[in-house]
Amino acid sequence: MHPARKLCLSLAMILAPAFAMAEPIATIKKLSGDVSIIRGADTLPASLGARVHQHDRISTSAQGRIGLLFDDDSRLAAGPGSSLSLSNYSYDRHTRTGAIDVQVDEGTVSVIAGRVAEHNPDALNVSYPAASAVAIRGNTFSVKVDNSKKEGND
Amino acid sequence: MIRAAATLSSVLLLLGISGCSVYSGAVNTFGPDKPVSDLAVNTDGELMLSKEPPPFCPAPVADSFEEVDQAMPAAPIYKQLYFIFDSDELTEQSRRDAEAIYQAVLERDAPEVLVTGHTDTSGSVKLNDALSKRRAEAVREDLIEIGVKPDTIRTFHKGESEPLIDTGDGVKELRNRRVEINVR
Repeated sequence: MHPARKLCLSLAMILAPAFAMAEPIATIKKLSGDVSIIRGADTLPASLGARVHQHDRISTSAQGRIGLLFDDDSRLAAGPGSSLSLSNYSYDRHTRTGAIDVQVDEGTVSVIAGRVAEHNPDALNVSYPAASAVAIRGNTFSVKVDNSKKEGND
Repeated sequence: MIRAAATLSSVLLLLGISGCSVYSGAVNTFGPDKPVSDLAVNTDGELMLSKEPPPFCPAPVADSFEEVDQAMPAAPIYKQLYFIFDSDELTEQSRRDAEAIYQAVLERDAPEVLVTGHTDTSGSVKLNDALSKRRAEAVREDLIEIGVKPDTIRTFHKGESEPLIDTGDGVKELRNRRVEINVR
C-alpha cells in the first residue's frame, strides 16, 4: 500500500469512532406510549420525527412502541417492553452498500432490510440471546426475547 | 387400550399428512407490503397475491408479533411525475398520480418529502436548470397547498444532467421531463 494512503487509512481508523458517535442514522416514524433513547450518559424521550444515532439504545415501556426508518430505507419496529441497541450502522448512498447491526436484549423487534441488503444479504445482522423465538414472514425478520431471568445470554 | 392407541396414531398420521407441521417453519417469500416472490420471475401473466391468511394451516408464530407490526413504518414511496414540454405543468396522467401521492403524504406520521426536478435535453443547459427548479417548486407548492408542512419538504434540481432515458443532446423526451418524488 502507498505510504500516504496508509497514513490516511490509519488516520481514518483513529478518527472514525469519534465521528461515529454523533451520526444520525434513522428517523422515528411511529411512536406510542413512553419510549426512551439512551445516548451516552443522556436519556432522552423519543419524539416523532426525531433522528436516532448510531450506538443509541432504545427502551420501550410496557405500553411503548417505536418504528424507525433508516437512511437506506431499512425499517425497524420495537414492541412494548423492549430494549435494543443500534450497535453499528453504515450506509453509502452512492455505492448503496453498508451494514446494520442491531442487538436485541429484550422484547419483540421486527426488521425489514433496505438497500444495504440489496446486494449483500449479510449486511443486516440482528443479534439476540440464544433462547429466543425467531420468525421470518415475507421480508420481515422478527425476534421475541423473553429475558426476565437474564439467563442464556451470550 | 390397543384401540385408543390406534386412534391416536391415526390422528397423528392425519396431522402429519396435512402438512401443517411443515408450514409453520417454512419461509414464505411473499412480503406483507412489498411482495417479492421467487415465483414471479417465471410467471408471464399478472400475479394475484391473496391477502387472506393461508386457507390450510394457521401461521402460529405471526400472532406474537402482531403488536410490534403496528409500529412498523410504511415503506418509502418513490414515484416519477411527468411534465408538459417546456412547462412546469404536470401531464394529465401525472396530475392524477400526484393526487394519490399527496394523499399518501397526508396519511403518514411525521412525513418527509424529497422532490427532485429534471428536464429533457431540448433547450440550453441554463434554461433547463431553471426549468427543473420551477418543476420542483411547483410540486412543493402543491404539497403545501394541501396541507403538508413546508419544513418537511426538501427540493432539489438537476436540470438536464440526469436523464432517465439517455437521448443525446437536443431531444424532447417525456420521460426525462419529470420530478422524482420520495415520500418517507
